[in-house]
Amino acid sequence: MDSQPRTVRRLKASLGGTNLELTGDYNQRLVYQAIRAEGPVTRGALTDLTRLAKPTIAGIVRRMLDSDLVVETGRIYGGRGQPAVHLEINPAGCYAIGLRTGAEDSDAVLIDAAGTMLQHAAIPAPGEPDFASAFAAFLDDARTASHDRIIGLGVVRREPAPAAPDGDEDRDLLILSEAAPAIPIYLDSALGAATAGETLFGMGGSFKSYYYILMGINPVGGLVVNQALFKGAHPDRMRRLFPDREPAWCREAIAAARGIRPGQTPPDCSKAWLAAACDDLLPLLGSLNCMLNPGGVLMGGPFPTQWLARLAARCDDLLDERAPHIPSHAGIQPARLGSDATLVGAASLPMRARLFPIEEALLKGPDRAG
Amino acid sequence: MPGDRRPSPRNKGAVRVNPLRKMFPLPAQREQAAGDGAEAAPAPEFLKLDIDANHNQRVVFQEIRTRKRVTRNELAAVTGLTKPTIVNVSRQLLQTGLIVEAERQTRGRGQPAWVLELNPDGAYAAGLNIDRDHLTLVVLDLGGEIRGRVSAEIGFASPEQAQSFFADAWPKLATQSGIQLDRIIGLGIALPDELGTLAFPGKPAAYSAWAEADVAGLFKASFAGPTFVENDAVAAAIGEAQFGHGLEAPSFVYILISVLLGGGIVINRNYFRGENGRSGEIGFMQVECGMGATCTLQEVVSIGALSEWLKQRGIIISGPEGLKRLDAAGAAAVDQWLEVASGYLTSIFGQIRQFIDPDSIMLGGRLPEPLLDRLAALCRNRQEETDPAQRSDVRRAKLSSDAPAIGAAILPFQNLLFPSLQLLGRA
Repeated sequence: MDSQPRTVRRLKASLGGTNLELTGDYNQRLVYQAIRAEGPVTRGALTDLTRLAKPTIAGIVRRMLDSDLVVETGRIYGGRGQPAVHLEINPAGCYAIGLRTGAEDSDAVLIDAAGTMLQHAAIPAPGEPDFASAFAAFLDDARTASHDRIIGLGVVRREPAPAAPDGDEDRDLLILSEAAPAIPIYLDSALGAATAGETLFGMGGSFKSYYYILMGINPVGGLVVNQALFKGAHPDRMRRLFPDREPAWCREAIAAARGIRPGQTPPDCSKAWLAAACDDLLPLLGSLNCMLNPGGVLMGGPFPTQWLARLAARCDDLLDERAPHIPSHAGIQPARLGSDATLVGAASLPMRARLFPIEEALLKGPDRAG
Repeated sequence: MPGDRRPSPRNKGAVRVNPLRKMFPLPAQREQAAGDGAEAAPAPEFLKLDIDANHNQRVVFQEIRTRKRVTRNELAAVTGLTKPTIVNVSRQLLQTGLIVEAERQTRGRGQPAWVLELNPDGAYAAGLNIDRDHLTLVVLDLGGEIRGRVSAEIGFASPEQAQSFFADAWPKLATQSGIQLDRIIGLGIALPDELGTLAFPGKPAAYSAWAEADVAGLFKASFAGPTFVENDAVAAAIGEAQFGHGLEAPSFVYILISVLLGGGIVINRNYFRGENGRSGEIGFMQVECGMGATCTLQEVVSIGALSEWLKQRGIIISGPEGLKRLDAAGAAAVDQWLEVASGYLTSIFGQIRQFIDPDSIMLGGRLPEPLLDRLAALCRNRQEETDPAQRSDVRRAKLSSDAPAIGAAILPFQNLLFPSLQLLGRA
């Protein structure tokens, strides 16, 4: 029809069309997520939650039962008619692997569909010669433990990425895909992983929007709207909350977390630490509330869990006092996946991409007519 | 085709049968009966997803509108829809008169391709901006052009005054623009939050009548079609997203410099309201204003702040119009203020970038356009001096003067014709 096709570029953030197949897939994601968030739940309740038609729900649930993604867990007798059946997700229905690579070593985890950590191993950093074999060994164990029901591998790489000669950058990814040829790999930033994990397995799902602060040597933050992290105009650039310095209180908390031996209770944070952290964070929290009016502010990252809880509570108390002028004040809380946020988050990336009701699943991409 | 599948029972008994409405059924939730419009309808916890043919019509229409001239092949490529779907949907769109077909000049071999383009006269919408110092009514065509405008500088106009202003202005619009009023598909109304309740210098007691007024119902006598009420900064930002720079910069922070300072957050062309509709309160962000003191941004950057600055220098202006008629001394004082204001704004931009890093920051509002341009340029210079690697794209909003009124007029288009994920989910 067009004799000389022009190149057509899709406008940034324009919406694609949709079709029956995509909405069918999306509806399955919707139902699975409703069962995850609300389970145990009856088919009738699912109809109300998702506002899908009863036959649609029945069909989706039947397919999910057939593939062991959900299980029936009990019937309610006593009412009229057939007893209602409760549905829950089957933790053993699917599994995912998360890998967080670092400068000195890496961490790998296996989680089940409920987000429970089943295996955790420290393996060498990607540059080390043993990296490939250590990862392959971890993968073998994971395959056995999961009865080969791994749906993907989520990877969070060290930030900022080390300088690499051209083309070398993705060598570690090649090693991974060679070790696990049939498993799709999902890459994201630490913040992307932490928010994905919090949305699936933490408190994120209960907010329409929230602001997530990922603690670290350089804390970073991002807005999550409708369960998706808004990555901004420069998704590859790290946006630090304190652009010109590395606060000492961050370093201190990370060192404290590293020093904790298993089974040992960590020392409580000092008053001075709490005061220093609050002094730095409160102006940001005030501005954040003015500008974004989020439903909540969550703090996660590699600090001792107790310290994060104390810090969130203290900031929440002080905000009204220090910034009485702000029109809204969102509750500040520790994230549920506090210190494991990025690791469990990495493993939740495949779950999000393949099972969660995300926009991308609904809309057609350009040039993918079908 | 999905488009033929669903007749629209909701439109039965509509006052006027408009072919557009059959095509794009009105989502009932979005048509607000009353209220200040700042509160979004509560989002359903789970998006409902049934195949929604209207989404595809809206998506195809959006591509035709923003690309000016486009072939069906190109439409298939950018929307991901199949060729037969495109053929069907474009036929439906042609029937409504929203788009027209124009033969393209042949290039190369084969049959000349038919090009689709927007018909600016396919539909019109009206927008009313109610503010403490003026009332403005505009009518826009589908291409975003202002076809008629009536404005009155009335201080603290009561609901009754607004009503009679509208009744007078409505027929004037028809004569001014030469368009038929029954082609106007909807009315948008933009007004500040807490218009009646917020304490404000010079506010008469009677003005609190706005707190109880049924804003959407006030103008039913003149216009009975769908009416949408929205906060003024939100309307301006939505207008910018759909007709201004938002086409290239889908995520931006809009800063509305009016009597006070408001703002709006647009993420991927959707307005982000926040938890209680209080996002974009940039005017309340804190800045250091000399000698260790802090104050809110709107205390130092707003038309109110500028008037105060000039007053201290013995210059009295009556509203933003007065800024256009200043003598040399007045102009110099304004220049000084712009310099100072750009310092405050730049410090806030740093935080905006840290928090969400939008594609762009846009300055709009009732400050005259040349001043907004200079303010944007001063902010850019300051960023360049401090850290060129870390800078935001700062510019004057394309729809800056009359932005709330134009934005209000875009609300009916947005709700009735343009695609959005929210509408897809709620259909």
